[in-house]
Amino acid sequence: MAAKGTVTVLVSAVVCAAVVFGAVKWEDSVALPTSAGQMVDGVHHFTINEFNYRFVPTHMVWHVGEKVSLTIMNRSQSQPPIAHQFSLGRGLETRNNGFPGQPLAVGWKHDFFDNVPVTIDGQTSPIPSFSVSLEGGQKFHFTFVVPNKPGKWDYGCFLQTGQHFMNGMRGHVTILPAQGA
Amino acid sequence: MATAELQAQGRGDVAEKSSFHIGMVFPMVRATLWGFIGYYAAAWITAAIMGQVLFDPAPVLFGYLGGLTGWVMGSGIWEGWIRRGFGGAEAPVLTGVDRYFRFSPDSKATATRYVVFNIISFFFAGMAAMAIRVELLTPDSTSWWMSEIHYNMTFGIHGLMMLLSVVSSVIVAGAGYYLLPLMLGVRNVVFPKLLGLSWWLVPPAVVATFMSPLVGGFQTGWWGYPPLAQNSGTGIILYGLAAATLLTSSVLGAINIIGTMVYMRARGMSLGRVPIFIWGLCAAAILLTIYAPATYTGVMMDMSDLVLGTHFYTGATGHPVGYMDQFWWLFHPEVYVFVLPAFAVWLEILSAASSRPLFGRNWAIAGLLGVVLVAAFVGVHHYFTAVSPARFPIFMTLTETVSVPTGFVYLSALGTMWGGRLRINAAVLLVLMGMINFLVGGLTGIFNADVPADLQLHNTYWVVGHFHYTMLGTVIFTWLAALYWWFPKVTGRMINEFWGKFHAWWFFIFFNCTFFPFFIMGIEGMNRRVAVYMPYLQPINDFSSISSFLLGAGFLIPLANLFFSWRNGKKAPENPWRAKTLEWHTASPTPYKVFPEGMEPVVVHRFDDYSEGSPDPVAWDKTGAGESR
Repeated sequence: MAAKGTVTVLVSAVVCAAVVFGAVKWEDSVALPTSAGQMVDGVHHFTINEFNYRFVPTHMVWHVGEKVSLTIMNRSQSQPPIAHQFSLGRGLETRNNGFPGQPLAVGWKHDFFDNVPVTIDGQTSPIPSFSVSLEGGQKFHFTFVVPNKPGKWDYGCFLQTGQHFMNGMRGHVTILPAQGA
Repeated sequence: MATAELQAQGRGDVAEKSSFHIGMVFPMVRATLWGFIGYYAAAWITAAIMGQVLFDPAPVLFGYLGGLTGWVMGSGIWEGWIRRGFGGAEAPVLTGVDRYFRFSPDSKATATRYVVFNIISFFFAGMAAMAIRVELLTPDSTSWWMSEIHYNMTFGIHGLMMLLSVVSSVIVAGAGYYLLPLMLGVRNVVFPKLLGLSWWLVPPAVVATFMSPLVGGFQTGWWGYPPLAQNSGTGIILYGLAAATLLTSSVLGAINIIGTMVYMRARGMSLGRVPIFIWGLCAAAILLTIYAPATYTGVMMDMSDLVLGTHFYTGATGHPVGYMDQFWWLFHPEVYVFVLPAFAVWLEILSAASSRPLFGRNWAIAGLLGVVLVAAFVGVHHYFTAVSPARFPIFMTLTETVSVPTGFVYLSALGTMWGGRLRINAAVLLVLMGMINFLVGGLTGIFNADVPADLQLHNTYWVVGHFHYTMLGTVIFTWLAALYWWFPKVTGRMINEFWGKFHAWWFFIFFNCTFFPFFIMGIEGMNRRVAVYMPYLQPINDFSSISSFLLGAGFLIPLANLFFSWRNGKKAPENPWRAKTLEWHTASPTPYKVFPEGMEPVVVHRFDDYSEGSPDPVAWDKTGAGESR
């Protein structure tokens, strides 16, 4: 009786570890986009998922002069789903909301895509203050050549008076000098 | 046969003192593992089929259902109950230490498991309270400690867990399920397996709530109001399922309370002789049976909005106020589910401790049932500021009516002590302190009910102070009193009176230092549920926070007291408090078989007659002897 109980517990422990490990691994590698992206025909493809209130992945590495293709997907879990934004830039702009030391996040002082030609549906042109806002379930795709703006750039969602950003809906891109340069 | 003779008599064939070995815990370990397997397997399969991730609503919903099933099956319910339904054999009922670690139809084991789990739950929910008070030490967002988001999750978890896994069951389940059959003079409750199941529903709900931040938490506090619920993280799914599970668990207990009281009383136990504590339980059980289904149905409809895309409460055709209606149907009367059994514990203890009959006993019962009568009407005050001024007087009147039946109970307690010689031990001291706290909580409630005051005070710390006085100050004080009072019954040992009284004073002083400032903060304009407040409120918040740390640390004293007294306490006499109720007529600690085969108690006199030379209220007779009379 006791021996049978021990066997049950041991087998259950092994199965439990396998299921938990398997589920988490599957989510990381299959259900969610990876931080590394994929290189296809010389274009670096990244997928960014937007959830309430986080991005996956939260970190990417680009190289100057590299052709990057971004697919932004809003996978808001709420029902009805809510809108999210992808805005890439540097230097947080804030606004006082009355509470001392508690400013609201408004946007970036310097937009990454200023003077950067962006290709959307085959049309290429620079778009001032470029950012992507999507309703729940929508998907948006664009490509561009990484300009010579090396360093750390941040992305975030500033919807609902910046609350998404302040809730932690943010990530960053590290831009390195051209490969082989 | 006399009681003393009966207490000394052995119980024959039942193994009372099987010694503990580690294998006895295996059912609980197995249940835990199966629970996690069930959760992750179901969530994984759902996510894979629907193209989602593990923290999306549908995988969390099915994961929870899988986890609950795995845990319950692992607990021994399959062998001990369900297997027979499929033509298999039912596992034998275990009577030794084993029964505490697996599904068991023994109400005493179920109640003991409740007490232990209540303490665990209270500890973690209490740590959440400490985290809240650390955040409030400074008026800014204290980002080194936690973000506003985590702050919101923390007070939501604190509220839900304290209400639904601590105060809802500490007295009703921990004391109630233990004493229900004993006080009524029967061997077990009317549906022992349902009662056994009720405990096994609690831990998965509690674990799910505490782990909800892993899937995004919930920002709504313990209310879960849509439409905020829809936008505040997938943890809301676990919130809703946990609330529904815990309420179901309460209802399983409530059915047992009413059923046992109505159908299973000992011979001679007329309703007029039923102990007041059982009347308190009965009042709580009536409320739960009537109103709990309305509320968990409402929560399930919200789950349906979140997962299936229905629009009961959201979207163009949805009606968010409908959720509030369904929510408060139970959750206002729920506060009386918490507090009525606590009142009844006061009366039970005070009557025995002052050796006096219960003053105005029938009025006290009328008070308990009177609160049941008005409970749901009173709940409309949760919409106080949301309705037209024409309805204010109605809301005010309905709310204030509750003070009338409550007054009956309070006066009964005062009248019982009046002129008596109260023997003050730690339990009685805690009851008296609980009464004083309830007085403050009750009087401040009048301001909440009063229209001009409420328009100013609603949604402020005043309200938070008010309900902490009634919940923590009354129910938790009374819980500790009940633990101390019935400790000799359950363990056969006495608690340490010095540390019991020392802790009572510690608790009383720092409780008041923590929560009385809440009233002042509320008047000064501090909103509830905020991580950030105006700097002029900092000194009073700091005073309250520091007091709360001392209050929280003080809980280690009763924890240590209970533990050491259980292991090494002084051996208790059979009836240390000279109480007359039936539970003290069996041996202590209560044997598995409460009284010997073939014997049963016959109630021949009321239980609260302490006059000189009054007859023993209980006689023992052969089972079945009454049939021929």
